[in-house]
Amino acid sequence: MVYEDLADWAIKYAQKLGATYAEARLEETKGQDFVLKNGTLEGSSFSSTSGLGIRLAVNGSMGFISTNIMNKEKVEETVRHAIKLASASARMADKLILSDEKTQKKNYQIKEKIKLGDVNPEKKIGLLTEIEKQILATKVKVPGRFLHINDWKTHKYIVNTAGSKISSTLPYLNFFYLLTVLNNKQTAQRMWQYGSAGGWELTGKWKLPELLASEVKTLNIALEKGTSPPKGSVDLVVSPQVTGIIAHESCGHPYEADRIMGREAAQAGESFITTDMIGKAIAKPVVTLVDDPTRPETYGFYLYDDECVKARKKFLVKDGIITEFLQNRETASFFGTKSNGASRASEYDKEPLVRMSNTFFLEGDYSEEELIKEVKLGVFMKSFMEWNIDDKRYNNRYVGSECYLIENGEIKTPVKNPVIELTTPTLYGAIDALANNTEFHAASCGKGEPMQGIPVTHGGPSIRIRGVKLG
Amino acid sequence: MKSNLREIAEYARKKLAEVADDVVLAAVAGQASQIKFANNKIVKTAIENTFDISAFVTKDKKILITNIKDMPTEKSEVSAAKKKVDESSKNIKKFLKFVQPKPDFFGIASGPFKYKKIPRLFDKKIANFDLNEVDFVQAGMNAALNEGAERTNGIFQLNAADAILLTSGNVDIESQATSAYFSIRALIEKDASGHMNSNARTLRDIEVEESGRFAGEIARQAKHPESGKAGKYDVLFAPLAFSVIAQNFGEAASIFDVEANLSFFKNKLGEQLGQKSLNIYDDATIAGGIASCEYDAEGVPTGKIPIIHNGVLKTYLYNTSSAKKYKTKTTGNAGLIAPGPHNVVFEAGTDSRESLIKEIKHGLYITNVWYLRYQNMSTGDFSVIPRDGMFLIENGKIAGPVKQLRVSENMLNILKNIHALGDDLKQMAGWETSIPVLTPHVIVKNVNITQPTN
Repeated sequence: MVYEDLADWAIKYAQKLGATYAEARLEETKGQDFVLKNGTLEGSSFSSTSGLGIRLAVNGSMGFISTNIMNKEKVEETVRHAIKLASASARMADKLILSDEKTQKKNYQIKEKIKLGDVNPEKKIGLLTEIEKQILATKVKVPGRFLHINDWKTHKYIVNTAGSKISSTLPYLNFFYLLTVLNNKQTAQRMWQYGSAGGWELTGKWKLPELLASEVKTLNIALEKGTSPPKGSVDLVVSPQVTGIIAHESCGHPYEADRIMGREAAQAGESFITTDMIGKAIAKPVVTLVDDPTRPETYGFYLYDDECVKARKKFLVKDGIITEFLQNRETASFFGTKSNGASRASEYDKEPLVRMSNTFFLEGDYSEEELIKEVKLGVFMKSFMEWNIDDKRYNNRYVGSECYLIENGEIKTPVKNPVIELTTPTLYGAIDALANNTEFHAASCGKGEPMQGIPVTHGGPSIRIRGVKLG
Repeated sequence: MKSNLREIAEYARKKLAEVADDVVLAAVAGQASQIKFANNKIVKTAIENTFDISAFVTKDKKILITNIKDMPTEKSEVSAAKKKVDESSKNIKKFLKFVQPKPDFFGIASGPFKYKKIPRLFDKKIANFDLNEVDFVQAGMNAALNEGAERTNGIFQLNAADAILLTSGNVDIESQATSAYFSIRALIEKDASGHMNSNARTLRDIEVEESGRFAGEIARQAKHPESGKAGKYDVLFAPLAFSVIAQNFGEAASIFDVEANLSFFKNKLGEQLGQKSLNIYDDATIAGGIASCEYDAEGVPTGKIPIIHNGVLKTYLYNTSSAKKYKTKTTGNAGLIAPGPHNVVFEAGTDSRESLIKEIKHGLYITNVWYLRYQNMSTGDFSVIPRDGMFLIENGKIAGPVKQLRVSENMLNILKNIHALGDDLKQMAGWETSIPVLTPHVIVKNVNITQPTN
């Protein structure tokens, strides 16, 4: 990378001015972006950025600087300013201690079978127009068709004063859609996202034109034939899309150690999980949840985190027992443990925080049909639209999009917008069986102030949740 | 103007005009400082420096947006910077070949325009970054602790930027902007918290101690909450809470959202959507307004645009091109791709917060909300979760704190059921409020509240 020398020099300069630790993260990103709204190409863009983020410890206080003005004079001036501010803050600062970690030196990358940079913009726009064509060919009334595709490649170089040096090159492809289907003066909306580290070959797997055509047909049938969901206590079978959002919202987030120690309380919130809950049961023994950044072809893939710590698979819940939190070097020091490589920043100009990567339920032995077969009265929730959760990750809500009534073990008519509104312990305690049909879905996860949206994957198999009162 | 910003921007406009029909060039040199605190300690300080040049170009109705990276910024580096522009111009020409035209694009604004100065948008003290930011943090924190808070968390941020906007439509304007942001959440024990933000463009207007006091007071009153009960309530929303919902009234007015079926205001122009006393504006001319600016993204002078006037939806928000499409005039709300609101402003009422509480027989006082998500943006069905202090109101009095409830509602219902507005207009922007909103305390009648099954 062009500015590696500048990054190397910057940490030495910070040390010279009194920093006891410094780490520089250099990022160069190139990308393209296209939006098709109701068949019209609203905008196209290509962009290229480079920037440097430096974290430094001075007088026990943590300072962070960032700049995209890539010259020594500006970096020098900014480091001086940062050291002045960090020194002034020392009287009120929390004593910054980072866990000791092994020195790492590595260069890694994801290989694209079809390089995103080699794909003509016409082809990328062509994919959007093909999707548009297939949607219109269904003859379903779809007055709102918002399609967005973007790709980017980031070269990253991280160096710290402990001697670690990590270089990586990661390409990403992302597709987002939001559709409005109209039938008999009623509308239904659906949005979803496909994203992964990788090249243009991903589009072959995603089969987006067929997928979106099928989606509008399904939404149309639900509008035409959908009935109200059953009242009272019923069983639920939810598909991997719903399983994934549950894994992300009510397992991944509350197991972030910086939430548990209160560092992110102002905005992202805290956690209903406390340190003394390690070793306690949160679910039946059939439930195991992991966070694994090393899984290839995912949106949350990486092999070394933004503090140069080697990434690994973490078991957050194993056989129903809470086992591990997501840690970076700061939280690991606080909890008296080692980092498990969960530190990431969305861009060069943001501080690394504890983040999820690919968070999912491990699958069971059943088929989805077998889960459904054992339900007398219930709902199969295949997809969802509205969802939210409180800032301690305790009060969940998921509102179904494509959903069906289950009667005596069989899928029946569509049902409209069933609402799951449960506390996390109730939800996890009610999961009694998991299928063997794991899927992974992409999302952008928000945390931090300033806000950092970061690519993640969540997923798992279809799961059965017993005895739920639907809203 | 520091550095070589103007010289480079002028060269870029000239150079890009050789390959394009329309050019809008925005150059910004910015600086920011930030202090983040958690559990009564400073956990991070940050300094940011940026220099960005972005370009919007059109050719035969083809639209392209790009930026120019690694721009040399020093006076001595002008020739290197010009080379960067030349390179970018070549790339734009090449890329435009692949792009399809947008048939309903009708060009950018033609100037020159005259602009009216808006007071209190710039503060030299902020721009010089020669302050003791830690003192502000300490003052806000102490105010919360004095109210009984055990822990305080939040952020104090200062921003300054020099900007220049040049277009092929004879727009040439320079501006200097500053802002200050203080956000504090006070916490007591496991379940009690209060939150307040202060947003300002000058140090004179930032309210760190008042914010700390309010957050601390709410946290103290929120101690030992009981589980709330689902049902219909008259809800008094505090400004921080209501801003999260109310920003959607501005966003839904964008003609881009209306066209994309992402707006509950579609086909509602001229309809009575709220009480006759309800007035909501988009106002970019408010003195000290967070998004106040004399001009929009294509250089058109901004104004005070009535979105809801006497309860009736009066207009959508347009840029020059979309206005031409609908045979109307731009409202000064470019967004070059999607028009959007600047500051969403509610006309205040005359009642104090205490008088509003007295008006409610059976209700809730919600001081903050988060995580608003739609089931359907075209119908306005959504839910959002109260956080921080939430209180039951019985017979005009606060009866005690409650927890674990959710507002499960519809945006048009909320608008229709706005019953009374307080006299305490506050400017809100932050984590959950990306579009700045000026709102007082607001009573919304008959709000649907749900709760989780334990």
